[in-house]
Amino acid sequence: MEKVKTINLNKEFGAVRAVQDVNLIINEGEILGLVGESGSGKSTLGRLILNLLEPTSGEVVFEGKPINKIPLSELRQKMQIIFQDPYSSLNPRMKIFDAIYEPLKIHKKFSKARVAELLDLVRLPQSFISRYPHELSGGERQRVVIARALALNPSFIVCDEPVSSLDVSIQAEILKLLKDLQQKLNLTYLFIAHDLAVVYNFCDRVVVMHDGRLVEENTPELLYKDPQQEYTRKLINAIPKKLYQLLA
Amino acid sequence: MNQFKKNKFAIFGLVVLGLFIFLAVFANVISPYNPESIVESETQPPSLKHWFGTDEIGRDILSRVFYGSRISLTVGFVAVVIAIIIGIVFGALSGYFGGFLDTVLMRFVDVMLAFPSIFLILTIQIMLSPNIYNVMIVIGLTSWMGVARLVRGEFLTQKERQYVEAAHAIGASNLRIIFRHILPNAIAPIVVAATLGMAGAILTESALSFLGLGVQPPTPSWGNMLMDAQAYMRDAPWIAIFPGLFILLSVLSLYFVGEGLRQVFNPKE
Repeated sequence: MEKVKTINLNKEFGAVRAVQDVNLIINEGEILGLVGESGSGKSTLGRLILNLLEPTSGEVVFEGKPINKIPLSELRQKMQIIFQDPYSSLNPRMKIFDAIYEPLKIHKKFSKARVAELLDLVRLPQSFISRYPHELSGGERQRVVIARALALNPSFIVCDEPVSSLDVSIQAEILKLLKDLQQKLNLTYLFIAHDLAVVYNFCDRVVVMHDGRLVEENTPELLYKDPQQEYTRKLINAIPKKLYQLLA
Repeated sequence: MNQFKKNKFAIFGLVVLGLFIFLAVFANVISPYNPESIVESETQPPSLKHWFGTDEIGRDILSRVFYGSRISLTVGFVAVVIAIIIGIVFGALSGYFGGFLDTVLMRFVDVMLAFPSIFLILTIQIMLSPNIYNVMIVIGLTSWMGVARLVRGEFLTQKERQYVEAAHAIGASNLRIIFRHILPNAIAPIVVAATLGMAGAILTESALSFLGLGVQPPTPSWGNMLMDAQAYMRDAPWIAIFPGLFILLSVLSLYFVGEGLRQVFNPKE
């Protein structure tokens, strides 16, 4: 079943065409990798799908309905985002409890027990609720961001380079957590990354984005073995040799 | 906090301010005489009986200065609160929403800044009856523009931060983002501006009262005590010296505290 579909999606910032004629389908329950270099428009595409940005033209369909026909409050509960940098995506003046409780409060689901449940879900100790973000490590903060995103039981999550700013050792932990959560809660992910190495083991399907267009789509294995586009080959070559041999 | 402690000027300012606030709160307890009653038949220089001497009609200056600190600090505080509230509303709307609203609000700020504010205050005070409440309101209404610009700048930087987008993503309303997210992160420079603004407001109140358009006699304020003293500067300088000294000390202390806070909030400077 199609979870998300974009139809001829375009976004222009002044003269820059960040997203051009993108037709993308994300199936229910899958992890779709979206790969491209910085400035290729992948983050913009993620934000268009979440209705955090208005498209210049085209439309986004979520669960069979155009997103601008879905009440914003409902949309915000069903789709969420995990940001790249947990250092800046948490309000430095909000305690962890308030950060996780905030989405519940906004949507009038006043349950403090849910906060405790979410901390368990992302494997953080309950004692963290009275701490501030700056008292936590990068990985811990990213778990808070994940807990916050999961608070309202969304079914679709845009992961915008969720591990790019973390140490390599922490990356694996967070990826594992995301994968576990995806299976446990039957989530659909759009997983944005700038290199192919991260998505290789993680995604069911990968699309490659270049200059605002989708240029190639395949399973990770086939994409590595038989890239059709010069640009994809470039991305593959950018993976360190040792790691590449390990993957292929 | 440690950095603030290291700043001797800031500590000095804090101590003096604390003392003045104490004097203002307990003026009725610690003043040796009624500030408005004539206790001596002549002007007396400072003595053990009247530490600061008596003024031109024989009132105890020490008591008048204590009661005056009530007026001056209250006026300064209330005026700054008014200025900060208006400044935050203007600055937040301007910086957060931007676009046409920003242009309109900021041009209004420019217009307000273009008026020489002391003349604006004088004009308004002449039209209204000059009493202490009007003084507070008028000073507040003419001193918020700096705060508005400051808050706008803070909002412009803060709204690009990712936690703001994260708040949008969970469905937070604009009001919520402005007050619960951005404002707490912009509070440091506002506190500094408030401290410095209060010094300005105390000076303005003194100037107004000195010109006879502020707090009306016989209620003592530091400013109108100075006004009364000017005719006797040569023969009885103490009448002017003590209220003047208190104005100087309070303004100076507020500046020291403000600068101390600024250093704490911007450790790079």
